[in-house]
Amino acid sequence: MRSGGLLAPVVSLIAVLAVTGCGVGFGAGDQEGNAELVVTRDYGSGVLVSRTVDRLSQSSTAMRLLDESAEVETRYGGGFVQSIDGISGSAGERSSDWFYFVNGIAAERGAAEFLIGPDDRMWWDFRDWTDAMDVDAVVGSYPAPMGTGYDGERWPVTVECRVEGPACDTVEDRLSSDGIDTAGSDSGADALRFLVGDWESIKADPAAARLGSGPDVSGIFARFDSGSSGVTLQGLDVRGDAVREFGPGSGLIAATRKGEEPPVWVVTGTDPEGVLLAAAALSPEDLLNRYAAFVWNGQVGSLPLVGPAPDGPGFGGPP
Amino acid sequence: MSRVSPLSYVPRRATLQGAGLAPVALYLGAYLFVCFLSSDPLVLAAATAGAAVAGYGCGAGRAVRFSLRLGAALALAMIVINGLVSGRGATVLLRLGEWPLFGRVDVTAEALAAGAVIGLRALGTMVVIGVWSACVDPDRLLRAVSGVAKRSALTATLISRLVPIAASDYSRLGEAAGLRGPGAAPVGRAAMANRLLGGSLDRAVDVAATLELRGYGQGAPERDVSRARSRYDRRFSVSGALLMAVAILSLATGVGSFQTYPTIAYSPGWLSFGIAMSFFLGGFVTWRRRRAGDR
Repeated sequence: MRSGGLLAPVVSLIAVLAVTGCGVGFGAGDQEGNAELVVTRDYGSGVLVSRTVDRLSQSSTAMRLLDESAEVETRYGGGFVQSIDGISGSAGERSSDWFYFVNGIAAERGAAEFLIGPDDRMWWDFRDWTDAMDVDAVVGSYPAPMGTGYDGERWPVTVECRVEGPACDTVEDRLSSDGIDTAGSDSGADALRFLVGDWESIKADPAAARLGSGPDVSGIFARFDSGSSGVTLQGLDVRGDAVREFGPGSGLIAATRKGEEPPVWVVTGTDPEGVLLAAAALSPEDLLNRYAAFVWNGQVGSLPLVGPAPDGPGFGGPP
Repeated sequence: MSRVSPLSYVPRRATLQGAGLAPVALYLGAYLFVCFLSSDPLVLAAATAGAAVAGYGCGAGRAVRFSLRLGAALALAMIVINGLVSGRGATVLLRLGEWPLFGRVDVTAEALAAGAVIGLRALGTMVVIGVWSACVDPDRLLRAVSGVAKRSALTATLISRLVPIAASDYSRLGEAAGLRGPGAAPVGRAAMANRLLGGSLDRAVDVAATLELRGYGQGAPERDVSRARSRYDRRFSVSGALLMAVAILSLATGVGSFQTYPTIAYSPGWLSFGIAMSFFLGGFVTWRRRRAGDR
């Protein structure tokens, strides 16, 4: 058969499949809804791009959406982002590269293969990964992933209360006001858990215990120290070194994830007062573009601690 | 119809056939080098055209046409396969839904372009190898190699002789099958291949015995070792060295860099055009003025 004779049936077949709605058709194909794109550097401390993508398509991948908003250079056959707007990955004594999160969860596959849907929040960050390559979950896209799910998966949300007082109610109220329904405390292993309690009461939980293993395991740049003078919260820098100690009344909000299990959010503190402060900071404004957040003396700051020595509690990171 | 494979070496009074092995290797090696390593479509197309011109210049037109046909089919296959397998690239032309094994299939302009560059590279490489195969005496090559790797040289010698023998065996078997009369069942290619494969060991032993009888193990004749320099040696040495230098320069400076993902980025400048012209015009090095008595 001549090639010209073959072309007509092939085009007709594609047209029929397109009309019957099999996901087949010419072009990228329109899709209703918006997505959000944020590009930052140094653990969210500097915002380079922030925009709402209002023209989604059925073929909108993380790479395509990024390419629409920034100058992108790739490596390894287009699957790996090497540079965005001239900021290029580097390897040496300290290694920095571009990483991306979708709805606050580190994507497990290349940006060219990850489809972005309506209401997704895509966050690209250029960071030093020498001492913590795997940061699997962050809090900076709150209320995602609770409201949005991740990669087609939605987890029921549970609040596990390990502390007396109003902190747990505050967490539930915050979640409720952000449109997230909680499913009680016994939704099993498939639930996205909010672990609420002071450090002494939650530290035995396997998810919380990961903090003790350091940021290279937990992806959280903080740890608690139970000394003779009480529990303190230590803020770590990008090398994993403790550079600041927060005393009584300090709180922490962080997310962690092991493998493909649902993420676990930890709302904790040195004491019940710190837990309450952390619970009160559970809002999109306070957590925006943060990997994890500490709360101390009425202020919210970013973890890891980035930049020069602090004058106040929130040095480095988003204001 | 000729039974000789289009890629088989045919002795001719032409430039490449008459020149020494090292100058020819340098000259065609420059083309091979650039076809393997360059990603500049302009340079790749020019190198392919230049290699074809070189082949025509030394009477290997049949090998060039065969290589072009084979290479074009391969290039087309690479375009199609890359278009289906690699959904990368920003410009989606076609959505083909979810496929088993492939997953979601989006055909993008960038994936097609990337496939085309790979295909162009394969096409150029095939033309260069085709010209080499048709113009360089394999015995000379094997003699040169035998001093370094004796066993490999013997294996290569056997293969280089078995391939044309298998081709003529295939042709004879086909003719014999055709003589069985119009009522006989057609003989499929698989049956023919099976028959050829079954007899290949015997044929290899025959070839080895013939080689031994003709003194293969006794080394090259004296006159071959001290072969007189060809008047074309300098021509290919100089042009080969120049083309190789140009190829290395273009790769070192990244001229004509062709980026396909996430969007196609290509900006060929004058330097890229100059390099391409060098490789195209370099093909005419094999040409010579016809003299009285030349066929």
